[in-house]
Amino acid sequence: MNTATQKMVEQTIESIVQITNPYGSGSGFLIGELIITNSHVVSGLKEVLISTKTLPKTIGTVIYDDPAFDLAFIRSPISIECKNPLVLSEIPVQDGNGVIAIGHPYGLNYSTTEGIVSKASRLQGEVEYIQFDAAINPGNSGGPLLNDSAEVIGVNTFIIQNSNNLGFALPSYTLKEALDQFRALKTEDVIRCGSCKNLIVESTIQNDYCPKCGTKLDVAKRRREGYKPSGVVALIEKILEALKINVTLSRRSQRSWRFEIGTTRIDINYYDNGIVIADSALCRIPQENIEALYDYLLGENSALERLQFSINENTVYLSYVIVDSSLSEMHGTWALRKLFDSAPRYQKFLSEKFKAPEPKFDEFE
Amino acid sequence: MDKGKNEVRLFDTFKTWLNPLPMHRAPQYGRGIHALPNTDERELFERSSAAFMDGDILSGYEYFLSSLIHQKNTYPSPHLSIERLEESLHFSLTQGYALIKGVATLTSFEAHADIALSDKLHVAIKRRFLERDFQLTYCRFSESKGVVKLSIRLDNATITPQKIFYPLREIALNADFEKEFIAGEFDESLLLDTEHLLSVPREKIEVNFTFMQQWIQETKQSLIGLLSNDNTGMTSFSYLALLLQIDYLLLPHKKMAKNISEKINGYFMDDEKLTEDKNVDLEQYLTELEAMDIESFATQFYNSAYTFSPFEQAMHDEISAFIEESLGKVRWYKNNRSTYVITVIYRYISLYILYNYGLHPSLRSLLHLHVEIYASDFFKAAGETPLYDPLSKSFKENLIAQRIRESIEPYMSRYKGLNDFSEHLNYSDLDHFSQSYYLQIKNLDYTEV
Repeated sequence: MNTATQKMVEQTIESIVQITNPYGSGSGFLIGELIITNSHVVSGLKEVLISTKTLPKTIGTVIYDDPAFDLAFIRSPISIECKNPLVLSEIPVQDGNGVIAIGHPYGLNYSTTEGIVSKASRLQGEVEYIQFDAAINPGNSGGPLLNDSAEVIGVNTFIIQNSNNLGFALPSYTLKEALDQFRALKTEDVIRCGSCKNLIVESTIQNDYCPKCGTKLDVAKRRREGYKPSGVVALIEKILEALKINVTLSRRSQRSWRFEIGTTRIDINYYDNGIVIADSALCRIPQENIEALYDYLLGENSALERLQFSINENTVYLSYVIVDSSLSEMHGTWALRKLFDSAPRYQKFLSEKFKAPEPKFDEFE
Repeated sequence: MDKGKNEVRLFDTFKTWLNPLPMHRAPQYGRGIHALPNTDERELFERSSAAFMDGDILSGYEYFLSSLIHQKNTYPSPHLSIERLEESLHFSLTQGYALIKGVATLTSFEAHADIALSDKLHVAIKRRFLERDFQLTYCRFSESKGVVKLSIRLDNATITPQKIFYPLREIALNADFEKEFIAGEFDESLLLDTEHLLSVPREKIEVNFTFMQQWIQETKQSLIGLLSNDNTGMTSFSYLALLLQIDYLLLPHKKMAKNISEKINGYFMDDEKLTEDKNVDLEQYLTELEAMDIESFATQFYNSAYTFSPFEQAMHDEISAFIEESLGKVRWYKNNRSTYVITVIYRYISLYILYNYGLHPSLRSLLHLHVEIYASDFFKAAGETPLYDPLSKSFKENLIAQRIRESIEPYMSRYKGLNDFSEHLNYSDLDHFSQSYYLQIKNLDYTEV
């Protein structure tokens, strides 16, 4: 990548969006006022979490869901300012053209990879894709594929698993066509029928059937039903709501939540083995007075009710650990409230008393 | 089969009809419980569930704790004692080095094990406790008034016997494990609650010491003259079988147990080291044991009851697969004329299974029987009737058959594929006996009726 291209790519970062929902996460990018991504990234939901370099986690609304071309458009409630907005390329893509993929593979934010067009047009089913060799991975879905001028030539859509860099992007001309059709309707909540390819306004759908061709629209059903947690997950979310935590904003997956109390991060994870762990990484181990810190933590453990201090690798945690079958609303609320109250206080105390440095948060998750 | 043997077997059968076979003895060797589970375990567990559902909390706890009391506990004091008062229930249980004390009230259940005096603890142990706190599910290490303890607290709101079992087992196993760890790594004088540990009689220590020395020398002697290039596997089997035998029959604790565990696990876990280098490590450790004086050796032993088994019970398929794989190795060595190692592998199979798997009491008893046959000198010194005479190469067939029946018959009505196989064994020599014995064990079926 030459310096000029590198600079252009850097300028596009502000248009790159991270998209999260309880079923997974992916990438997206801004074209005008809309966030473009794949349909499979939004998982049939009407609301997903979006964030950019300048926009903190916000609930975005999926206003167009197109399983036929694996496309979705999201509206942000807050305008996202971009000094160098991305544009769709109008230059035909040729085999051998240089390409750049940007996205969040495995949650590793703003990863950029470079390659060439391996085949400008590759048909899969009824849809044409650009085949390219820039490395993309799960989490890149929905991100832009750029040319050397940092214009969008496609939407990174899928890879052939266990292959060596066989990536496929929906061409920008297909995206432009979909955008034009959608904008022409001058409405929101639109679905494209996978069979007749017509755009259907959601409010005209009866019993999830396409009003034009009669095909069952799975995406309409999923959008109607939304995300409904049950069992222990529902109980955890009920407790969090009672404690004034925005559950939608804090969801990282169906069984994982993250939020900040002040500047203190809290993670809640419900593991497959039935253990629920709510914890806060408070600080790292200082270089002096380490044994005194251990004595303090062990001493506090005898006084703390339901919470406990522990150390993992080099980080001090304050945690609430409970088996799912023993989690009750009353005790769970009590314990989590205590964790939310205590964690920031202890974090401040450990920093002041033991000069314990701030925790470092792993990006590999 | 000759007529005399048939008559003896017929007589045994009549005798069995007239005098029902007693329940087998739980082996007093190896790690874990040296007693049999409570025969009413399941019923008491169900009564506990019912009591909790009826809101009779203290009875629920009483039934549950009673279900953990073993039968035929050979220790002078009970491994678990319960005292029920009007509004609370107090209990204490032993788990090797650890003593767990607890109290259940109408609203909660609390238990703790005093581990050590905090002011003498090495910083590494404090760090370790805090790291263990990150890994443990139910219990936690804490310090109060100069004492480090491991404790649990449960609410009775949704209590069931299952919800007590796992936390109680976690605290018991970990308290024992951590005290053993401290005793192995640092000065054990700071450990608390050690009054329940029984010392091993000096005479027994001396016998064990002599046997350990003898086994090490015999093993080293047996390997002299083997070409190192061709015999790394054979050497490994010899050293591992010996370490497993020392651990199972002598049952050391503290540093010796820790070192043996590290050597055995290190052998299997370290994929980078060459087998030759692993053998050198094993040999070096055996030389260290050989050079150990009896006073140091004596410090590594105590007796104590265990309430919980440290192992999860393995599926019989797993055991069968291991036996199958091992018998395959026996065939390979047989085909390659390496007869020396065959007997070692047969000895190794039962010791390895006893060391690594949680076993049904009958299977444990059967595998112990194999160990007993192979180490007949040791058991003779322990006052048992030897089951095999290495000089005349003869077996006590009737006694062996009786022990097999005792191990199997009490469970036959419960498991559909559990049959007395004593008549299908080949007593022509030790190797043939082992081959036939393992084939029978492999084919046992522990599927419940």
